[in-house]
Amino acid sequence: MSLLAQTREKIAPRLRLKLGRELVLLAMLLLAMGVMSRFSDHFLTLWNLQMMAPYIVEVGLISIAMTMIIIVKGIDISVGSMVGLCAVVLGLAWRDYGLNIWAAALLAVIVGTLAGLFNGLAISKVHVPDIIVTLATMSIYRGIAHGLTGGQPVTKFPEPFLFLGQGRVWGVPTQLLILLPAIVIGGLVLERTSFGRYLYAIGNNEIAARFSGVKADHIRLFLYTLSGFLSGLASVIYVSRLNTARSNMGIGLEFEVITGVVLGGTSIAGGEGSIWGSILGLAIIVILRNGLNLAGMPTQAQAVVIGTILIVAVLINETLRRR
Amino acid sequence: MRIRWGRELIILIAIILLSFFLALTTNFLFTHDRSGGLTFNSQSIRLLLETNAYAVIAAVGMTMVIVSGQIDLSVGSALAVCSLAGGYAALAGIPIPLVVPLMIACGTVIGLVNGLAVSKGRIHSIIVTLGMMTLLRGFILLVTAQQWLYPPDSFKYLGRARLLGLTLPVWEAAVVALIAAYLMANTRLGRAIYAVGSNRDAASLSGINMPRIQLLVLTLNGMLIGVASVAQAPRFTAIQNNIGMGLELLAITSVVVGGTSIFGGSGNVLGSVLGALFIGLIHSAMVFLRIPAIWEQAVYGLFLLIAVAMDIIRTRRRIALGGTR
Repeated sequence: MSLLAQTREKIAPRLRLKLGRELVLLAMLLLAMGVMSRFSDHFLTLWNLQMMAPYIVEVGLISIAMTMIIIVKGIDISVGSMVGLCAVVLGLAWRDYGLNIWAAALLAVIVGTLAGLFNGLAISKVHVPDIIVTLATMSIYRGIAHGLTGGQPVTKFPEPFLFLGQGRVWGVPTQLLILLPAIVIGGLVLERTSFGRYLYAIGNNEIAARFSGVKADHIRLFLYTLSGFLSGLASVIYVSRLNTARSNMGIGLEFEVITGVVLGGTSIAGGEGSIWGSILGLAIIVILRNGLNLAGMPTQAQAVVIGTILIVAVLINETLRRR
Repeated sequence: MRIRWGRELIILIAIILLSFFLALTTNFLFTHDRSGGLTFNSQSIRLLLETNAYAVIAAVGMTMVIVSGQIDLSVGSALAVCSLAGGYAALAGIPIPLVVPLMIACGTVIGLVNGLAVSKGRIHSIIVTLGMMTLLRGFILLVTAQQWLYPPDSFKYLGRARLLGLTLPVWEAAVVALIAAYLMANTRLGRAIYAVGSNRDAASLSGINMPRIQLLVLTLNGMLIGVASVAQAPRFTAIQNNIGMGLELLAITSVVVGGTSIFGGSGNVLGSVLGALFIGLIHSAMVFLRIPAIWEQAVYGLFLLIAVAMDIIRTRRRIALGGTR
């Protein structure tokens, strides 16, 4: 228990610092919105804001697991491929195997969970480094998705299913009602439970955490499985939003999620970070992308902008941390 | 040069067995002539060497990177940038003897930026090169506007000219591999790279400037990617904008299959060269056995995972038996 008390002592000043950072992020968010509204008259319209909201859901869900993984000094770059694989499973199970659409969606989430479980087992049981496991499964899952469909999309999903990604409840996009509770639960678990404390403890000093009885391997296994589960869930929402399941869905998603998480103040060196920060970081990216879209910048150029943001954000983070 | 025939021998045997299997089941090595007799056909082997020359060069560079305890995910995009730079330069009428150093310089600069971010910014190479990968790929798509680039014949000559029956890329790969093997095994720099990768604290304490080694290795790797682009881009009538896509996976897989420990500190260049040829042979095998190319990515990923898992299980057993790594 003394370790936990120690960690808390160590973290208490940081909590204050973090609050400062989140204010900075909020200011950045407002600044981005201000700049974007200068670029395009359409930006600050209610219509546009509503168009943006659904987009953050898929990356937002995955970022919950990614934040926790990066806090324990891990990384998962297979999330984009898991999204692609689950989308394909959903599409094929429904169209070719005649499964009920909701059963197919459930199957997709299960496949995602299993894919994440596989990552977790290789990392926590065989002790293969996480970057290698997820680099390998990134191409394995994507390869399977391509192989299963031959690159052909599945479209024309039934109307009730589309409600998930395109419908509204009391004027709020349906999927936002899935994301919000997930953020609250994720945030509370991270900050108010012993499980959350364990994550910071592992990230700060894994050996000390192990000696204090924290089952680091079990926690890792759980986190990577969670990442697969949330990727599966995100893919179901994604398919419903676009009314298409293609094997190339989610390419580059891992990059966007990691950028958002790091921009949100989670340290790549582990032991630091919050889900609120990640969501704010992602919101900035989504708004930036949307604004650049409206300003007529091609998608490829946006990748350059986001790549630059990632590197600069990490540089700033690490410099701040070392001080 | 001291060579320990551990993993290298295993891959060599695997290469021979797989070639043997292909020779029996397909016309990989022997073709039927009209009278029904078999004639030996060296075409396949030559093609194997020529198409994988750039992968061998990339694997050699990645060996140094991984031995030093780092990783470089940006090699594929960097190769594309160098290739396109060369293509555009050749189109602009710059003489070929200047285009080649330009391509190599281009890779060196990318490596230098990676290296500076890692050594001065003290960010882990995974993140730096992941960012660099996306950044460069976006840049390429932007510059090429999804169009292919058709370089002049003088540029393509670099990929087609033959010396003693083999094209230039094969010779380039051979020279790079020999120099790198010497550098890693017989020089002070090579020792320092192994030292930093196996125990960075001990290396620092014994007076090795770790950030400098990291910077040097990543820059050197960038330079080799420039050389790899010289070996790859001129081989085709067009430089496609997706050239080099997935090269990072190919290179890392080759290196790990070749016996280099993913944790750094051990491994050698010869193993990686054989690893790259083995992966190239797998590619040929899939073509000859008519397995759809769409599965290829999954197969490489699987090989990477199996190779690393085997390596870890093997070293763990050795440690359990009281040996050292």
